[in-house]
Order: sequence, then C-alpha cells, then structure tokens
Amino acid sequence: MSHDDKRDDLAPVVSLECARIADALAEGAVGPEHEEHLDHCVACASLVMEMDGVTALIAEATAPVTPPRDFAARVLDRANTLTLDLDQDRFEDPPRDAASSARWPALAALASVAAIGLAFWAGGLQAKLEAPRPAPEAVSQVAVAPASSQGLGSTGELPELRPEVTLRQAGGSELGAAPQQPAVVPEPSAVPEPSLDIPAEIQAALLQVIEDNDGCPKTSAGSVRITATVEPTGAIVDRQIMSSGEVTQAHRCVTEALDGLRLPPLAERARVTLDLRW
Amino acid sequence: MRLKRAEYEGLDAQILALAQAGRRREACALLMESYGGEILGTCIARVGDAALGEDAAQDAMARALVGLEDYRGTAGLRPWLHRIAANRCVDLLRSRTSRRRHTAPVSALDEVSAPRAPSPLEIAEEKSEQSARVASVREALSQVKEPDRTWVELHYTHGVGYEEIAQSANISRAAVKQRIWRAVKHVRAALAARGEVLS
Repeated sequence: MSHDDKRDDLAPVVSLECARIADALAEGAVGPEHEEHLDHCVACASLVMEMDGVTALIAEATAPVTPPRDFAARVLDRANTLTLDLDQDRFEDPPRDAASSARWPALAALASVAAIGLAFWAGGLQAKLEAPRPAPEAVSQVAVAPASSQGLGSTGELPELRPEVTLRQAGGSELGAAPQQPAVVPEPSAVPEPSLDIPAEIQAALLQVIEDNDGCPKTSAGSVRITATVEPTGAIVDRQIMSSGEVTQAHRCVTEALDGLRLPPLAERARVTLDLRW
Repeated sequence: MRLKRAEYEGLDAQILALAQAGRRREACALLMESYGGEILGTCIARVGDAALGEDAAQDAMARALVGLEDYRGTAGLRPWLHRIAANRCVDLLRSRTSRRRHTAPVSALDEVSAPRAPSPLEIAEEKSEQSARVASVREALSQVKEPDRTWVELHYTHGVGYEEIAQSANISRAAVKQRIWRAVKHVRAALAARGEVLS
C-alpha cells in the first residue's frame, strides 16, 4: 500500500476529527485534547485561530461602555415621563406617527373579526348552558356517570352516550369515567355535569382566533397540548401549554389566542386537556 | 467582570422586588449598575454613534424600568433588556432613515452646514486599524437578523450560555447553537470579503 493510499484511508478519520474540532469550537470547548490534531491539521488550526479572532472582535465591538455619570438620573426622568404619557393615554388619544396610524385600522379590523367570532361562540355557549332541559333527558344524563344499569332513570331510558373527553372535576375525578358508588338520582337542578363538550368548544374558538390571526402559521406543524382549569366564572386558570421545539410559532399563537379567550359562566369548575393541531 | 448566572438571578430578583414595590429610584440604580454598561455598549454598537446610542439606551432602560413594574417573565432580565434595546435601536434607525427621506431639502442644507465635531469615541475609533476592524464587525453584525444578533452578543460578549438563551427564547439549545454559529460564520465571511485577515 502506497503512502497516498494510506492517506486516502485516513481521510474520513481526519475529517471526522475536523468535525469534532468544529463542534468544540462552536461550544467554545477547544482544549488540550484537540492539540494533537491541531498540530497536524493546518485547516483546523487556521479555522480555530480565525474563529477565535472573530469572536474576540465581536466581544470588543459590542463591549459594555461605562455610562455617563448622570445617565441613571436621565433614565429615571425618562421613565417618569413615559409613565405620565401612559396615564394620559387613558384619557386621550395621543398623536401617532404615520406608520403606526396606518397600521391601526388593519389591527382594529382583525380584532373586530376575532371579537365577533368569539361573541357568537360565547353567545351559543351561554344559550346552551341556560337552555332548560326536559326532565326525562336530565334524568338520563344523571344516569350517565354510573355505567351499571342501576343508573337508569325511572323512565328506563338508556343513558345518553357521550364522547370520551378528558373533562375532569376539580377534585380530579373524571366526569366521563364511571364512579363506583351506587347511583342515587338527585334532583335535576342539582346535576353538576356540564352539558357541553367544553374541550371541543374551546378548541373551536381557539382555532377560529388562530385562523383569523395573520401572524399565525397556516399549519401548526405539530401538536400543542393545553391543560387548564375553567372556573365557574369562565376564567381559565392554572394553564399549561406544552409543545415540541419545532412548533414554537404555533405555541406562541395558541398562547396568544388563549390569553384573549373569555368563557361564559359554567355550572362548575372543569379541568380540561386538549391537543390542538391545525 | 462577568458575574455568574446565579448572581445575576439574585440581582434580577432584587431589581424586580424594588420595581414592583414602587421603589423606582432604587430599582433604577440597581438596574443601571447591573446592566447599564452593557445596554449602552450594545446600543452604541448597533447605531454606530455614541450620542445616538446613548439616546437609544436611555429610552430602552426607561421603558424597561416602567415595564418591570408589571414584569411576569420567568427567564432572566438580561435577554429581555437586550431585546428592548435592539428594538429601540431599530426604531431609532428607522425613524432617522424616514426623516431623511421626508426632509430632503433640510438634508441638503445639512450638507453645507458646519460638520459636527467628532465625539471622543469617534476620534478614538479612527485612530487604529483595530478600530476599523471593530467597525467592520459592527457592520457585519448589522446584517445578522434578530434575534440571532442579540444571541451572538449575549453569548460571546456577556457569556450567557446556549442553555439560558434557549430557555428565554423557548427553543432548543441545538437550534440556538446552530443559529449563533451561523451568525459568527457570516461575520467571518463578511470580514474576509473586506480583506480583513484574522490570525
């Protein structure tokens, strides 16, 4: 085997070592363990030297500068002025520059569309909540919780089949799951079970807001999981939004949409988990 | 001197407590002591002018001070402050460009008026070759899009780790590392294109 052949055999090994150097460089971790390679590889040695030079220059070009003596006082004055301006903004519209005033109509239109959509949805939700239910149906719904036939109402009707939703009561028991205690049919007015598929309603409202928001991606590129508690007042609390790193934009959109979401009063507190994907 | 992350977290907590207790003057003093120099440095680097940079930094710090009173973030204050500073610089540069475009006759008058006296910083910058390189780096950095540019500064100038940046930006560490490294390679290429020898 000639020397050139040997060198060709070693080429992938050398480039692998070069890749390690590049990675160590990016990590800022080029150390003594790389010295042997750097002593023999001119390309890597030159790269390390150049990159060290560039990063040192970046640090120098953006280095901290000692502020003038009165700088803190000026910052404080400016902050106080800004606060005064903010207070005045509550009573009067300040003059705005041309660029920002041109943006406002578009933003206002977008907000109006979102608000109308939410209002329709919230109205529907309120109507569903407030709509009187026929007594036999209410009784049959009470019988949903226990899975056994003991839960049948006096009419003997079969319980209404409900889609499986991860709707939980504040205590943690799942509303869709079957409790083990014997069924006692209470008065219809005391029935705590919400008559709505709350996760589905929230999902529909969020998707509508996201669709109306031009800043949101057309597809989420992944799933965003929301876990939250909906208080009887309609307030959404204890929320957690989880997603993988690849759906950062979708995550942000869901967060913003959830921030603006207001629900009408509910019969009881509910713990909701839903996976949003579009 | 670079402080450790834990030390900065302690300072951040103190600044927030003071601001949210309505003790704005004390919050301002501690904020300036902790971050004033680096925010001023980044603003000057971004706008390329000491006086303008000071204006931008002053406005950024004032806005941050007001914002601190309602701040509910969980990440450190530093990335947040740098983002505010970056935005103020962009606004300032944009408004200057726009003003120049809309006031062409005045600009023409400016051209014949007495030249502005160079600031001490400008004089110092013009003195050495190293300063010219610094100016080249600033120029190259100005072509790096946000937030990558801010991350480059946080990492290389202020020693903020990839992990902390990733946490504050809510993206993966690998993505932060890749974007910062790409930005550094861009600066290297821009300097090479200008014939700067880095060795």
